[in-house]
Amino acid sequence: MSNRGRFLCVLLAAALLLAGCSARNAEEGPAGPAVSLTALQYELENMAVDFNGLWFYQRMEEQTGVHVDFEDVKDSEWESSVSLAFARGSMPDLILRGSLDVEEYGVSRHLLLPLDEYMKKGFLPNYARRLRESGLEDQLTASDGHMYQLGFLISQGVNTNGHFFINRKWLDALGLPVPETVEELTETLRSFRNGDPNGNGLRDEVPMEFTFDDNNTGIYNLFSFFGLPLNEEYVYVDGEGKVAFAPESSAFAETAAWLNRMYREGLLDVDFISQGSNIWAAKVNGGNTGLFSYWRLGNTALSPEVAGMYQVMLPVHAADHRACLPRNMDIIEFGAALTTDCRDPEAALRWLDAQFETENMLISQNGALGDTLIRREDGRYEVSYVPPDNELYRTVPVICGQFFAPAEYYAGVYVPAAHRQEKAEYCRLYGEAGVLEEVSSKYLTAVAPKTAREDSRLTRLKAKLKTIIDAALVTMITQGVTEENTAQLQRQLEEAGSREYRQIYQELYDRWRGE
Amino acid sequence: MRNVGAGKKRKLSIFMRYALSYMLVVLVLLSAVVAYLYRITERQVRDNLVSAQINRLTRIAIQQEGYISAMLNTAEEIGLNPHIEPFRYDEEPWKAYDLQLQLVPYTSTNPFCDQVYLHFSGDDRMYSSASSMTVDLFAELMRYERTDPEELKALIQGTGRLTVLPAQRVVSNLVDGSEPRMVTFVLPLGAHPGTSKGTMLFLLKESTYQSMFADAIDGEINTYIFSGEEVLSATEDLEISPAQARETPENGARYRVFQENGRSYLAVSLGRRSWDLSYAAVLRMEDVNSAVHGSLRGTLAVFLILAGVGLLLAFWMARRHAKPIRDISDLLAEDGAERRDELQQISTGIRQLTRRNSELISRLDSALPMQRHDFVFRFMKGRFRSREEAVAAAKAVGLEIDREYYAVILCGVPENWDWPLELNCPPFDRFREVTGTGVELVALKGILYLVFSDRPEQLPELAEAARRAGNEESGGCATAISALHRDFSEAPSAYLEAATAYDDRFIRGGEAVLSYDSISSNVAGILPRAQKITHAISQALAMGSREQLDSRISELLQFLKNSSMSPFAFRMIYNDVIDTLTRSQAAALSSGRDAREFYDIFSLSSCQSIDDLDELLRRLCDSLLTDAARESADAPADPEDEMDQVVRYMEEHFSDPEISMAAIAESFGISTTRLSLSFKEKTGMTPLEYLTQLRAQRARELLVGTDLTIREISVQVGYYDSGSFIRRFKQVTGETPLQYRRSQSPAPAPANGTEAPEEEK
Repeated sequence: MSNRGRFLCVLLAAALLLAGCSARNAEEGPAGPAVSLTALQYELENMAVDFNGLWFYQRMEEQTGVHVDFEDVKDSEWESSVSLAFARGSMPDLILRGSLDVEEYGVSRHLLLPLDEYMKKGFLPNYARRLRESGLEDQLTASDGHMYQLGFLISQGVNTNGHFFINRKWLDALGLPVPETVEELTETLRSFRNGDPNGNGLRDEVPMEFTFDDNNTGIYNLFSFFGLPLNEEYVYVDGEGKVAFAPESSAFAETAAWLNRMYREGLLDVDFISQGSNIWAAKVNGGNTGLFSYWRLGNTALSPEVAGMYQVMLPVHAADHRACLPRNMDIIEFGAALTTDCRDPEAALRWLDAQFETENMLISQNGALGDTLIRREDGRYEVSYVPPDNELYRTVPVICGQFFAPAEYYAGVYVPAAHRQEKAEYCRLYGEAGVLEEVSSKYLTAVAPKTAREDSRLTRLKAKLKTIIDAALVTMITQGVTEENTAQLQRQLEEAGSREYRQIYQELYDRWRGE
Repeated sequence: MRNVGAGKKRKLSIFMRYALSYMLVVLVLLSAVVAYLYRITERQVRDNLVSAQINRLTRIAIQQEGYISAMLNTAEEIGLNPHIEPFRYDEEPWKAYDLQLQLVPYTSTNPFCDQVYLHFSGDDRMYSSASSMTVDLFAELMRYERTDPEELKALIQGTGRLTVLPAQRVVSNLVDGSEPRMVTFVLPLGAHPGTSKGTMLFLLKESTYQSMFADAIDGEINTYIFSGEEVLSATEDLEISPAQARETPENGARYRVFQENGRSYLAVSLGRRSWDLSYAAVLRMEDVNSAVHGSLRGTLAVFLILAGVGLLLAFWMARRHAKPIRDISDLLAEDGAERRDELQQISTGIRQLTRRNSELISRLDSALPMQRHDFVFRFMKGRFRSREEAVAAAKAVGLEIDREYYAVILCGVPENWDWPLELNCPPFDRFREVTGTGVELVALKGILYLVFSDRPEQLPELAEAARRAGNEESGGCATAISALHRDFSEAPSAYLEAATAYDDRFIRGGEAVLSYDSISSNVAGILPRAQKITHAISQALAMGSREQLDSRISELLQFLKNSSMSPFAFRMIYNDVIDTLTRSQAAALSSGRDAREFYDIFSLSSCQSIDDLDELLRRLCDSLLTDAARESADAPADPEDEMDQVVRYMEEHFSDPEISMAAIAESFGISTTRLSLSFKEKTGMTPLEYLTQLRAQRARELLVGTDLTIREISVQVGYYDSGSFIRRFKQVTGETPLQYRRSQSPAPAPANGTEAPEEEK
């Protein structure tokens, strides 16, 4: 080697030594996070959120030393983006919010980390404690017994979708009590119809204002009068733990027959068949309605003046029947999962669990403390101001962040808004009155895991069955219930696969319960 | 420097005139081109803008009409759908459920529609795929800004004619958003309005139209869709009345310009199309002009470059064209004259030249006889070094002498007879092929004709004609002619021949022309002896032996005396001796200069006796010997001897009018200064003074001894004009020639005394 070559080698070695020293100094220095991770982040379709620039995640980075680079994906592209991420083999460290088929990617393909094992080792302390106390582990446990996801839960104790509201002003005007039986209700409605409770001298009162096929403003809730918890999936768990198909119940025809009477007597608005919720709201807001069902009165499509005319009513009982409404329940949504490519699971779990810390979690939902969120003297948090135009998304992820608040815990740390308290009160009333089904049909439709095939099959069967059911309901209510159309309905349902439909639900329910 | 006080505006130079003219032409041409381009560009840009708007409006129209077609198709398809039959809700409400299911796909096929409603004739309901309501409720819930609920109901329940409710605010909980503006189309349900089953309502949010209009160019622009007289939808950046935009351009034009609020606008209209819809766009003329100016910037840049190049070219051309004129002007300018405008200077110069030319021609015309006289003498004296020089000199005086032959003719002139000197008058005018002229020889009292011709026979004929003319006039006029010569250097010989022959007149008289050729044979007996002696003289001359020369000359003179020859023979021999000596000596001189040029042939031939000849020969030989010695010495000539020669030369040539200081100095190869100094040192006077003295002396002799006129004497003594002669003569003598003649003449002066000679006036 020439002298010149030696000189260059020495120079190169010196440069490398200096570079190495610099790198080591950088690692040891306080500047920059220790860990950097990537995340596939769900984003609402109509919302433009800069997750990488959110103040909240900067706060998390400061608290945990973990930096996360977000890849924002809109709702419409979420499914395909998730599939693509797993298919191309270059998975992100984290998948956040939206939805994720843990059976497919966790159980079958083993592309997700089993988080229950980390919780056993003491990771995720905030989340694990809250989950354990809620008793909702079953909802998050996959078919192989592992938990591949963190749940997202905002529990407000909502056990009922639509509550009945009766026109207290009219009752007062007519001197009538709140009805408790179907017969009393029928008479009350007739009084509304004929008694001119609005005092305008016209028989323009509409005793019952409903829409058609749902459990909020639709007539489905009216089937509860006859003990039938008719929901939009048409299945429920009976007292013996068996899955029942509602249209096959005798109560279905009984209710239809009563409704036909109401229809014929002009006690049910004839537009219930085809009017939408906005027309319904417009009519109710006309202040000329006797009875309807709805989520609540406050902070809805109803005007405060109209809402003030009504009071909640428990479902009435038909003779020989006990009122039974579909029971709602808190359904845990997908919150987060770690892929097997995660470079630092422990750091990722540390970053996630920090978001479940009570104050952090409430901030992520409601904004900065002292700004839109305040802490009361009793230690609970309360929203002081709701900015318009979704301004909160400029600083915090709101519902796109991590949140796990079972009802009891949530009530202990957070004071909900008045309208939420109203809803909670109605739910408490209905729950205490025992008018809700014992086993929520949500276990069938939302909790019990379905295979992809079962899900697809159920979707197709339901579409066919719903068409038959709704057409039959229209016919029965408007033209009357006969043995012929009842038998025809049963025949059509059976031909459309009602038995298989019920059987699939029975199997998945049994499977879920057995495990 | 500009003379402000001059009061008269100084004219521009020719260069500035050219430069300004060319620049003006360039600028005018380029301005015309730019103006033309501006017109073209303005029209093109405006047409492009209009075309762009027409295309845009057409696109909007096609989209709009596409929407309407889609809505009409939907209404027609629903009307033809066998599963959708009209019903009354109060009679068959269950059909509403099926109807909604049927309407779902039709709603999805018209995504541009916010809402679609169906109404059956005779029913009181409105149906959509998601809801239904009574017409009354619909009219109540849909609170149109400008359409009354009753009017809306009437439209819905009407005959089903296509009706458009222009964009207006609709307040309703049936409509998403806060108080959006909607465009409502009411269409017949079914294929034919007359047999329609009901009506359909299509509600389009105005944002749908705004997205149509969103492709407007930069800048403020109003875009309108008119339904009849009403604005269906519009986007308005400019505050103008829509009625202006709706107005159709005249004469089939695609646009029109209008004024509103003191500003100009350009309205582009698409005209009425289907369903009584029309489309228009309005732009501010400022924006149009801005676009025009933007397009013109490139053209202007090219113009500026072209203008720069054009001006430089004009400058260059002006300079190129002005230069020759300026040069001509400078040539014509008078020295020391104030520099003025070039053209004026040229004009003045040409006028001066013309005037001078006229003067010169006039002077030449008056001096021509003198000049010809001078030419003849110079020719006869052998002054021309070459034939070409002689021809050129003759040409200068109007003579064409470049002929094969020439001869000298001497004529005795009768007294008081105006004998013609020129050959263009009788009796010579018939000899058209003969050229030449005549000069008066005072001493001979005759005229010498120098004549040239290519035809040798004509020359003797001309001499004969002269003789006859003279005889007719006076009865005895002798005429002699030399032999015919070709070589111009033989001119002195020719003269001697003619003079010799002329001397024979005393014997033979004027009965015939005295021809040298014919008489020379008469002396054949003595001529060889004379020629032998002459040859010996030449040899002595060549040897430079003065003693032998004296001896030979004495021998010749003795021979002439002893021969008792006739005067003619004497003359013959005498002339031959002179000719031989000068000719042979000239050949011997290495300088190539003809020795004869130093001698006046007329003087040499003027001796009248043997003694005259003796003196003449000895002086000639002495002169020739001196030349030879000077030539052979090859040393600077002695100024004193040289001045002696000059004196002699002047004495011999003073009658030559062309003699001058410069000519003398040139002849002797010295400068005029040296000539003047040496001459004055030698003689005590300048050469010019000496020349004047010589001429005056000769003039005195002629004034007293002859009857020649003053003019003739002045020519004889070497003056071209008598005025100079008189002036010079008076300087020397203190009196005029005429006064001198009178003072020296015994005859009394003319009695009247008033007939002063012309020369003295």
